[in-house]
Formats: sequence, C-alpha cells, structure tokens
Amino acid sequence: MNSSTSISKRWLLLFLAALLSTAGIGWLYASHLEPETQFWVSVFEKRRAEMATRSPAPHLLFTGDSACSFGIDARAITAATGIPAYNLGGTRQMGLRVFLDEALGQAQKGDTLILICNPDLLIEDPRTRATKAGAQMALALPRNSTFPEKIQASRPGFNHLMTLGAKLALGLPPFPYHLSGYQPLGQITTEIRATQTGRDKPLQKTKADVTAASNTLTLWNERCRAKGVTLTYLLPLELTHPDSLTENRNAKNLFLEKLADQNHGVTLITTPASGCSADPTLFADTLFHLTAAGAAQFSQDLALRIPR
Amino acid sequence: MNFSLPAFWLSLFAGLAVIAAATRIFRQDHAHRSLLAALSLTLLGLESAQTLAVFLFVFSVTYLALRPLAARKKPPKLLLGFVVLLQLLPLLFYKYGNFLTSQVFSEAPSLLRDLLIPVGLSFYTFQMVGLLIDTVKDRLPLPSFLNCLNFASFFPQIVAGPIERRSDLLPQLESFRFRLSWQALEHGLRWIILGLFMKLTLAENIASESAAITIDPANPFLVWLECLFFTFRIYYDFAGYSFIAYGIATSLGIRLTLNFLSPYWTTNFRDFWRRWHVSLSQWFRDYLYIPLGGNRSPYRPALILLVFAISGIWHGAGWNFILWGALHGTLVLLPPWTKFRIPKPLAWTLHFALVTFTWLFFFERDSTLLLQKVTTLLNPLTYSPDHLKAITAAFPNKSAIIATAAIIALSALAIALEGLTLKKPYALLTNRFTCLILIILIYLFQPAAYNEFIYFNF
Repeated sequence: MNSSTSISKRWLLLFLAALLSTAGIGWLYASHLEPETQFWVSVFEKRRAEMATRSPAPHLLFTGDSACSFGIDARAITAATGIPAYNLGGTRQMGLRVFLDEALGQAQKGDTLILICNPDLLIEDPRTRATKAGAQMALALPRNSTFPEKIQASRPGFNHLMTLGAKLALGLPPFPYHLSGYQPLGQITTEIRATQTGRDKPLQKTKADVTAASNTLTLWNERCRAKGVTLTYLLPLELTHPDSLTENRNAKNLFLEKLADQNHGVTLITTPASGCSADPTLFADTLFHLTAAGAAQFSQDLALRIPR
Repeated sequence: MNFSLPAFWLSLFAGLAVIAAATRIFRQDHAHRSLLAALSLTLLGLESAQTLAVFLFVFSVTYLALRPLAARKKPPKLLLGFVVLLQLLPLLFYKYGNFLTSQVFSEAPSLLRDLLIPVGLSFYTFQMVGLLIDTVKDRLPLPSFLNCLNFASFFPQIVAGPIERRSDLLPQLESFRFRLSWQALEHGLRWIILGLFMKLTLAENIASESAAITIDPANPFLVWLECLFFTFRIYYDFAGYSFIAYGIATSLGIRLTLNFLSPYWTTNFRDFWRRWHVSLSQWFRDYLYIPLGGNRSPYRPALILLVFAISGIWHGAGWNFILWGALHGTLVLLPPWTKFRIPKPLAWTLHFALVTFTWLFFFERDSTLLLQKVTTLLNPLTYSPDHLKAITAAFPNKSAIIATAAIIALSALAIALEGLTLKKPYALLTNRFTCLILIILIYLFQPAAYNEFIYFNF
C-alpha cells in the first residue's frame, strides 16, 4: 500500500469519527440538555409521580397541545365533576403521537381521555415520522423511537442553536416557561403576557381536511378502545378578534358538524363559546394559552359538558 | 435521485453492494459497463416510471438516429434539424406546452396543465443533442449501444448536470470499471461533503429563514434582502448539487466538469457566465452561438441577446425568465466596470449588486409584484428612514433576526473563503481539515424542513 493510499484511508476514518462524535454530542444534547425537552420531561415526570398515587378508575385524562397544558385546570374539573381529573397536555411541536402515547400509557380501563388540540394536528398524517421535538422527547423520556427519529432528534438545527446562543448571550432564559409554573394535577401557568388582538380570519378546513381529521380520530379511538378507554375531542379556546367572533364560531361549529358526520366513533364536545373568545384578559402569551383565571373559567364551563 | 435524501444513498449503497458481488463473478469490462448502466437506470426508475420512460424515449431517438446520420458523408441539415426537434419534443411538451398554449389561447388545454417535468429532462436532452451533433458534424466513430447508454444515463449527472461533451465523458465511460480506490473515494468524499454543506446547511437554512420574513414590496430594503437571500440560496443549492455529483463521479474514477468556479468573485457578467453553470454556458456557446455566426456575426449583439433569452427560457417557462436572460445578455454586452478605472473592490460591489438585482427577475413569477418590486428598487425616494426602521417588523421575532443575520454571515464567510483560492477553485473548502468542520456543521445545522433542489424544476 503506498503512502497516499494510507493517508486517504486515515482521513476517511477521521471523517467517520467526526460524524459519529458529532452524532454523539447531538444525542447527548437532545436527551439531557435541550431546554424545552428538559422542561417537558420534568413536567411529564411530575405528572407520572402524581398519577402513581391516584385512586382506581374512572378518571378524566386531558391531553393535547399547549392549549390543553395551559387551558385545563384539573382541580376545577375534579371539584365540579367529582371525578379525579389530570392534565397530561404537551405541545403542538411534539406532535400528536407523543402526548397521546403518554396519556394512553397512563390511562386505565374505564378512564375517559379528552383530546384538546388545534384541528391542524388532527389533519397531519399520524403515521408520518415524529417531529423533531417529538423525537427529542422520545429520546429523553426515553420511549421507543425508530432509528431515523433518533438521528433526527440528535440534530438540533441552525435556527435552534443560533436562537439559544443569542438568548444566552443576552442573558435571557433559554426557554420561556419554568417549572415554578407547574400546578398540581398537571396544568402549566405562566406570568408572561402578550398584547394580542386575536385571530381575524375564520377557521378554514376543506372536505379533505375533515376526512384526514376523522381518520386520525379513528386510529386513536381504536387504540383507546383496545385499552377500555373512551376518547372524546374538544376544540381549544382561541382568542378571536371581536369583528371575526361570529364568523369564526360559525366556521368552527361547521367543522365540528362535518367531523361529527364522519364514522370515527369519537364523542365531540361542544361548548357555548365554540372555541372562540374575544376577551384578551383570559389569555396569557399566545392566542391559545389561557391565564390561570382563564383556565379556571374555561374548565368550569367544560366540566358541565363532559359526558358521564 | 435526490442527493440530499437518505433514500438515495441507501439505494446507491445497496446497488453498489450488489455490483461488488456481481463483479466477482463477471469480471469482463463489458459486465462492469452493463452494471453501471443498470445502476443508473434503476436509480432513475426509482424516481418514477414516467421519468424512466421519457428518458428512454429521448435516448432511443438519439441512438436510432445516430447510425443513419453518421453513415452519411454530409447529412442534410434539415434531417439533422428534424432529429434534434424529435429529441426536444418531450422537453417542449412537458416544460413549454402549458406556457406556449396559454400564450396563444386564453387557457392551456387540461392535458398540459399541472404537468410535472420529468426529473433531469432539460439536462440529458441537451447532452444527447450535443452527442448527436458532435458525432455527425465531426464524423466521429459511432459509440456502442452500451457506451451510448452510459453516456446518456450516467447517474451522478443525469438529473441536474453538468451537461457533458462527448469528447470529455465518453472515453472515460468506454474504459470504465468498478474498482475501489481509497484515494479517489477520499477525494470524491471531500466534494460530496462540500456539496452537502452548501445544500443542507446553507441553502436549506436560507430557505427556512427567508420563508419566515414578510416582504413588503414597497420597502426597498426588504426587497434587497429578499434578492440577497435568493442570490445565496440558488448558488448554494445548485453548486451544492453539482459538487455532490462531481464527488460521486470522482469516487467512481470519472472526472466531470466543475460546473461552478466561484462565480460571485467576478467583476463583470462575461466572466460571471464563464463561472456560473459552466457546462450550460459552454453548450449554448458551442451549439447555438457559434453555429449562428458567433463573434464573426455582423449581428453579434443581437445574437448574444437571443442566446441569453433562450438560456433564460431554458431555466423556466415564463416571461420573467426570458426577461432575466435578456437582461443578462444586455449586461454581458456592456463594458466591464474596470474599464472605467473603478477600483476593483468597488467594481466587485457594483457587479454583485447587479447580479443580486437580476435574480429578482428569476424568482418573482408574479408580473405585477415583479414590476412593483423593480419600481421600488429603482426609485430613490423609497429608500426612506421609515422603510429602514420597518425592517425589523418584517421578522416574526428577535430570534429570527439573529438567525437571519447568522445565516447571511455564514453564507458570506463561505464565499469569502472561496476568494482565498480563486486559482484553484474551492481548494480551501475541500481541504481535509475544513471538511472535518463541515461534517460537524452539516450534522448539527440542517433544518427539519426540506426544500427540493431549485434546478430540479428546470
């Protein structure tokens, strides 16, 4: 073997070593350091600890995107219904699979699982690969995930690293929410407030969207039924511009009506607000994150409509 | 055949593993070349059956016409023209059918609407037209069926070039054998790493960051920012693809044309087109410009404009592409900045600004918006302090501003590093130590969202 061949071989090995070490660092970051994942892993662990001491079924388990995490006051629901309730919500970025898997993992036969999330999450194909945040959660919890998902989780991305670097340089917290905002039975609260006027366009969903949402509900309903759990779905409360309130309510009611016509077997809960509110004082930092007071009010209204 | 997706690499490695086993049994040169053709056609077929079928049509027309045309001492130009037209037929149908008919009629027939252009059609069609003309005009020996098939279908370059000449690629493929050379592999891998860095780290992040910005067409600063984004993105997207193709071919022992030679380090448009999409520029020069009279033509300026306008429409069926081509043709005709005794850094700045400006005609397909944006950029009164202040409002949040600034800085840094080794293009970026850093950046920086290679549409 001549010297240039052996130099080339050595460099090829070095390239491979660089790739594997970077993957290792990425994996370590995703599973132990990524601020958002670490926050949610801690939240999930706290909830698991609370649920370990629960009474026998039935229970009301709420899950969904951050509208659920911030919007459901499980203590208010428990007080109003007399049934022990738990908030097991996650975030939209995690994807439906992560928080539904977590909630189903905790559910017992006879429990009712109430899914609260933006319709877009139902429309996304549930069989597609996990989102990056979802893959990172799976890596950190740890939970079963495929090899491509593990690779995906270990690649934080330019935007994430630059944003994190900038926050650290400016002395800002790397993630806006803190565990001090965790409330017993799973709700997340925040003191952050944003000036918002609300959604100014009505929800627009096509026939294909309704079918896709129905397919997702069918898929999850089958899994719930296999475990003896009842699945229900509820639209989250969204801050809406007063001028668009009626229009958006009608659009959301129409979506629910069309969804109810499909054969997915899931009970759909409707509220008088129809997923829309024009009161900005009920909302914290996004159009879907309720304040503690807003969550208590929404939860009390909801408790009256939960099927027993 | 998308080099930035894991599915391509898995298919390639699986194919190479089968070939490694097969070449232990079938050791003849002929077998190696047959296996290369099989690999190329399989990878193309994995794209879609339609992609493969259209390729086979263009190839069949080329191969079947070669023999009778090459047998004649002086084939009639009309016949040659007819065969070239046959070769171009799928390209005209898929790429321009909708555009041409919609210009004649108010609406294109439903058959032509929403047609997907088969991957690589523009590139391999031009390569096969070149093969036909070279063979017939220069009375070159007829290539064998297998060599001709390998020339037309060589997988690293079939999808997006480089568009190779017969004299450069065919002799290499005639003596092709699969053999493992660690040196070739390592050398090729360095180009693949650079290509992946350009595509996955730079072009993809530029695409995702720019997508989050709301561009007000009346704000010249934002329109310039949009143009700058595209200036970087299209270069890193296409050069990235070309370097991966170059790297794969190098690993297999085949030398392709380097399609980009640091084009943003030029100070005039003539030089720019010698360094941007090199093989396409050469194709237009050799098969269109020179046959129509070239530099000796009394209508040279009009000829240059025509060639550039055709080059424009090659990139896409739309008036904006024709305008873009014609604009470049006009700028090629103008004397370079250096003639005015302008210092080189200033000449570079003016030229780069013009290149950036012309990309607007390339990416903005809405004619109303295009006109509005051009007017904004050319009107000095729009450059107001209010518009300057409004830049930050176009970003969704402060983090987006930081990420945008960072990706622009990284893109500019990569171009600056190119400038250090202009005599040996990309020498610093394909240096082994640089490649180690690039591997880390590719792995950590690739965004979750994926965008197709821009030139796949062409």
